[in-house]
Amino acid sequence: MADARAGTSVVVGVQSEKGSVEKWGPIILASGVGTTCPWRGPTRSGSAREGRGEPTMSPNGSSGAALGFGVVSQGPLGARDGLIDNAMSLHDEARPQGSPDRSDQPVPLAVDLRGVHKNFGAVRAVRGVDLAVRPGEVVAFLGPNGAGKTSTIDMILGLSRPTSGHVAVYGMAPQQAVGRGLVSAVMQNGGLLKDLTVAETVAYTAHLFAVSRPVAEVLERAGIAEIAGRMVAKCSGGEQQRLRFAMALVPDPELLILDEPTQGMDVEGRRSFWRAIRHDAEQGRTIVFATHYLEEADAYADRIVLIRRGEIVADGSAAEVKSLASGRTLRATLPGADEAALRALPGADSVEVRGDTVLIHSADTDALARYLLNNTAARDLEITARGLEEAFLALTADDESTPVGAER
Amino acid sequence: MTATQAALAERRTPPLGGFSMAVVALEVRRLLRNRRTVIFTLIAPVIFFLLFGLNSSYANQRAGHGNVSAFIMISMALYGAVLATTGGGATVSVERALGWSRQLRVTPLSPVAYIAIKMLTSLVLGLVSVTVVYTAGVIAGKPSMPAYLWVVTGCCVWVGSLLFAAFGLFVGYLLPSENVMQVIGFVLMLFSFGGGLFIPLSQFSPALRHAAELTPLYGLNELVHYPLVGGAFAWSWPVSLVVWLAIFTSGAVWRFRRDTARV
Ligand SMILES: Nc1ncnc2c1ncn2[C@@H]1O[C@H](COP(=O)(O)OP(=O)(O)OP(=O)(O)O)[C@@H](O)[C@H]1O
Ligand SMILES: [Mg+2]
Repeated sequence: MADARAGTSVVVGVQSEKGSVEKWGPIILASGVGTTCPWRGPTRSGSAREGRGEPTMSPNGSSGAALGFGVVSQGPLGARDGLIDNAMSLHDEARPQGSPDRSDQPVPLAVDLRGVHKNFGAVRAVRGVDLAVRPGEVVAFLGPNGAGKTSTIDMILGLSRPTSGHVAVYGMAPQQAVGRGLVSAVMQNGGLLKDLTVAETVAYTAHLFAVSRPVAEVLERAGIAEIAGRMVAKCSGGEQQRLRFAMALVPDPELLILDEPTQGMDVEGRRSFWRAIRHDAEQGRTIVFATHYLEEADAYADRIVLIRRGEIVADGSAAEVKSLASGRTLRATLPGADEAALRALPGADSVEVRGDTVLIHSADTDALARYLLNNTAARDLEITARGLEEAFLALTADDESTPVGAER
Repeated sequence: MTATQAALAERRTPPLGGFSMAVVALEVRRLLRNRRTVIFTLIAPVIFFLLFGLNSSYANQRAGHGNVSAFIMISMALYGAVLATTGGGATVSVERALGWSRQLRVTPLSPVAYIAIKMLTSLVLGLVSVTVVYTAGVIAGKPSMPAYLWVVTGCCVWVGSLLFAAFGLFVGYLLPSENVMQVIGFVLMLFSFGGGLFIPLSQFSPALRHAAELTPLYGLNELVHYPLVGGAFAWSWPVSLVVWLAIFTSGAVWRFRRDTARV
């Protein structure tokens, strides 16, 4: 699977072969040493638990349903639209076409949302979300306040019912999945009794499930074994969050949902909390988490779902979405540009050729500019910067009339 | 992949909707850890008994098959048991405010099993309260009645207090506040006066007395004293009990349905 052209940016395609679809692919970084998702490494994908083979990689995103990077340089709205189209087509393929018979699927989807709407009176919190999470994926819901992350999660957990649409967790109704301990959650806030100790809280939870992990083991995994005897009321915010995490681990769920798990934690608390989650995810658990923090989604998810005003505006691997939101875009006039050659340039995240104009998105546009000026007939170079946050905000802005960055 | 499928198939729901005595034990421990609960439901009734039940000017006077001290001991045991069961039921209020109920909804625990756990926890605390008051009576040595009546009245008080577990749940679902216990303490004090637990209703004016007979503790109080006092039995007592039980239970069920409704 290692790509021959080391140093080339390679899009790992979302490939459709015989109707089965591989997971969102990662990117081979400039070094050419194939790292896939940021923290699991390529080996994970072979694990029996996930039931999928090595990710199929194809250079230059040439595979059928590949998330092309060409859309990236189109500016916020263009990128958004492009990604949505891609995302939707992926999801359509990911599903057994309209048929309820899933015998050809090794394992049902961990989360299957189709056309899900949720209204609270006049508030349209979720507006037509389609989402397929495959077993073993680590997915981040990224979006600003009020985007509909918690509303969506509540429906996945069976805490609320969609106004319309279909929700299934491992092929069953959410409440059934919860009852069987298939899915558990770390809630955004609350959910702890102050007058129990840490160990008692976990024990309480453990008694409610048909099968549960030993309390000591769970405390150990959440990193709170040493405060087992402490009253919950005396625990710090970070410790309480770890306790919620421990409670969620009790049934050894297939799917773990975390709603803004590090809210209100300091940097170190955040880091060590994620260390615990990361350790857990390495065992192959499916994880869906909501966050405001782009960096968090970037560092810990292998797929990011950007939500804005109750809709999915982008859906792709961490690297893909990150490149939407970082780096700069170089624009030049280059008649007769060889797109493939441009893609092969070091650091070129995405290349789009429109007539005589080329748009290259890259983290190192300076080097690209130097190369183009020295080695090609490129002229009228323009480099536009887009800050990380700025881009994220542009993608998720609540304002419908977000200015379009570049022409469509 | 088959491993996962097998794992999925292996998963099952717990028996009894997640109900377990281990959880009841944890709930009781929680209640006993709460200093205010212990003072108001376990210690206060004993103090009231010691204050009112040992007064030598009337304590040894005859009351049915026993004496007035025994009569007052039963009243105070009822007071304690009612506080205990109401308080136990009302903890749902705090748990809702803390988001614990929501957390429980992402576990297999069924709402009915949760209510059963709350009821049983209340009953355990009620039993402790009755036992503490009766033990104080034994130690004080003043209350006198045949041995079987200690058991019969104690059990009547205990079982009867279940009525107030329903009341506690109702109030707990009605008031979403952490101060629900203060409200309950006040309301139960009124009910206790109305039921004649502190002052015999015969000392009230006729109008006040008729009003008092409509309050929830009246019928229960008369019934738990009946084995000791004997004499004329009034059907209005069990009727009062049943009507109030119906009111509290339907109130609790109504609020409970609203609470667990998946909106
Ligand atoms: N119970 C409710 N009643 C009315 N409106 C609601 C309710 N719950 C959510 N909303 C509204 O739905 C929208 C989406 O809310 P939601 O909590 O899902 O957002 P979120 O993405 O989780 O935001 P945050 O990042 O702040 O947690 C918001 O506008 C919110 O005000
Ligand atoms: Mg939220």
